[in-house]
Amino acid sequence: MIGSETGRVGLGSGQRWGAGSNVEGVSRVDVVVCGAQKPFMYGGAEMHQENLVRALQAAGHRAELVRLPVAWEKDRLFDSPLAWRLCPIDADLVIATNFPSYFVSHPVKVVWLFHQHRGAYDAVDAPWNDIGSDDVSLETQRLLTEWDARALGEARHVFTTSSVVADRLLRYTGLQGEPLHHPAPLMPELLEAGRGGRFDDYVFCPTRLDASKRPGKVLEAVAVARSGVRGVVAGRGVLADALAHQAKQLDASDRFSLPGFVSDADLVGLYADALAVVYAPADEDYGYVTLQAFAAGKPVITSADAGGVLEWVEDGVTGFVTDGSAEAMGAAIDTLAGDPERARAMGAAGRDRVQGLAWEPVVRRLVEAAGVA
Amino acid sequence: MTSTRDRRALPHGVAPEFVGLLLGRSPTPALVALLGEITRRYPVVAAAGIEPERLAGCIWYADWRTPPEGVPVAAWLGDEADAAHPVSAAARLRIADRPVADAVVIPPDTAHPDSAPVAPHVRRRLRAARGLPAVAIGSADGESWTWSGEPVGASLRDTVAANASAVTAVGNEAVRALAWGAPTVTDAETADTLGLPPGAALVADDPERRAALAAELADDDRLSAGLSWAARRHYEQRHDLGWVALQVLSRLVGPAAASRPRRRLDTVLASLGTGPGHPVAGRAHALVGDLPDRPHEETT
Repeated sequence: MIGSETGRVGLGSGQRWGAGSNVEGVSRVDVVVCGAQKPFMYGGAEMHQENLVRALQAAGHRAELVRLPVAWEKDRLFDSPLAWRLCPIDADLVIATNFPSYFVSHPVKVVWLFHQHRGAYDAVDAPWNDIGSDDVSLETQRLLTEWDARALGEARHVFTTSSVVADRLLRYTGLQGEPLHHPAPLMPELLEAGRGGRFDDYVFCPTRLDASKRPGKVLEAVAVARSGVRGVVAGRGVLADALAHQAKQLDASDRFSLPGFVSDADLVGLYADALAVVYAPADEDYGYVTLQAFAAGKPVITSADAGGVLEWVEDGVTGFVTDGSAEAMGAAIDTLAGDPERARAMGAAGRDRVQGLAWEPVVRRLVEAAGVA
Repeated sequence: MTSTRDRRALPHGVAPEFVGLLLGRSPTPALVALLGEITRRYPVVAAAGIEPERLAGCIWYADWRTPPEGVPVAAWLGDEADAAHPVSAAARLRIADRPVADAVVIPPDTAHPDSAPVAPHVRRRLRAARGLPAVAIGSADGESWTWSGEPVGASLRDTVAANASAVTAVGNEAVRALAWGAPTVTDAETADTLGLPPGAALVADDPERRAALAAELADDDRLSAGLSWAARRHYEQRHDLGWVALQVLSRLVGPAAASRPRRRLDTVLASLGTGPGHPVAGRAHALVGDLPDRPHEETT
């Protein structure tokens, strides 16, 4: 729900790449962006890969996206890394992104790490993870850590999407990664719409409705808030029915709506007129929602364990960082409901943080790190 | 501009599948050991007796003959004259049994062939799974090892090196700690003898200071993880003949010839530190199944 209709970085006024980019003097290189994909899943990572290809093309390079499927079960976990290892890729440069695309073998490899297989690392105790404490699991974890260190260590440079991903990389493999921030989808549209936006009586959260995104926190906060502010959570996922049921249980159905999938235009509109965005995922890698909220000039209410969101949200300045409890998040909602000017000021501060994000410097940095242009 | 790999135009049906030798002197023990490792992946033959098109690479040592044109060369540097020879100057890489010029140094053997790197977060889960303490420091002095201060027999040295939160080690047994990727604290003499670069181990000459540093490592995931991987990399480069031989071969001949898919698969696995006996290798070969190893092999 972050621009899922098209997934494209908008070409609205004030766009930062495409029109106006100077390709004169740029040494054109052939770049293959490597990405892994779980069949039938499409989300932030896939959008990011596609936007990177477009940005490379806009900068004058020839760029293509190559994806191979991935399986996450431990008995098939090493199949895709080996497949990448055996893939012959004829290009001047490969930019590898998510696990296990960085296993690609190429003399000029740059990694822009979205994530490793978190089931072997910080998410080892997650309910969805099949890496247990038996001998096979432990050897799987040991081997994957070794393979990751070798494959990532081959790169000319390792970038990460955020400081959170860089810290995980350091903590588990001992390797250094340099955070390289990029714009979220629909930023130009949101910057434009946010200028004229209202601060209405609802808080907004666009997200996938699954456990890692914790959409229930929005509902619980709204149910506790005394100001009567409504909650709108747009998105699809396995928790849709459970959330609707929980809203009834909390007697909050009249203040909580689940519109499901919304178009890009509706998404922009929902951001633009929200009082604030409430977004408290569990240890997020980067957090497009945060950037989109700020582009729309909205403060973000989050939790202290939200991961990459915290790289942008500063407590009391661009939003609130709470302990994640319904009471604390509800109180933050009430604070903003009672002081819309404060919400506006926080949103403006957030906008200042993100409006400089652009693809041109990202592309320049990636190609420069490869040493090929 | 699309870069291309170094590909020679080959006659139809010919694949470069041998490593040739041009030896003008008897090979040194280190060169013999290296050749032994190379023969595990490529047949090694006298270069003079085979068509150049069938050579994937050539190892030259003080020979009066010039390697065939277009064949990548690794030049063994026995002495300064070898280093100054035109063949060495033009070689793809230079190899030697001691630090000389820009040569890759070939270790005499593989010190701990059964070792594998165990990262700190995996060590923690291993200890938990086995009901061991959350923090346990290993220590090696001379040939003697301890686990949380208790002496252990020689048969448990690898176990300690692979499972401890951190290891203090002086003397040659530090190599065992490095081999298993243990976050290691040693003394200056050991660090100097082993040629440890900064970041491969912490250094302190006072035993109590070493113990304190090891205890701090147990609480410092980031520093431990960095030391663990750096330790293993140093071990591979200085004490693992098999690993160095693989790197020499990779630089010399590039990816294994496409006419040998299984060799390519084994080379790829080896480049990830995974030998043919590992279950993952078994699965990979099972997936290849009945595919012939050479395109023109008959299956009937």
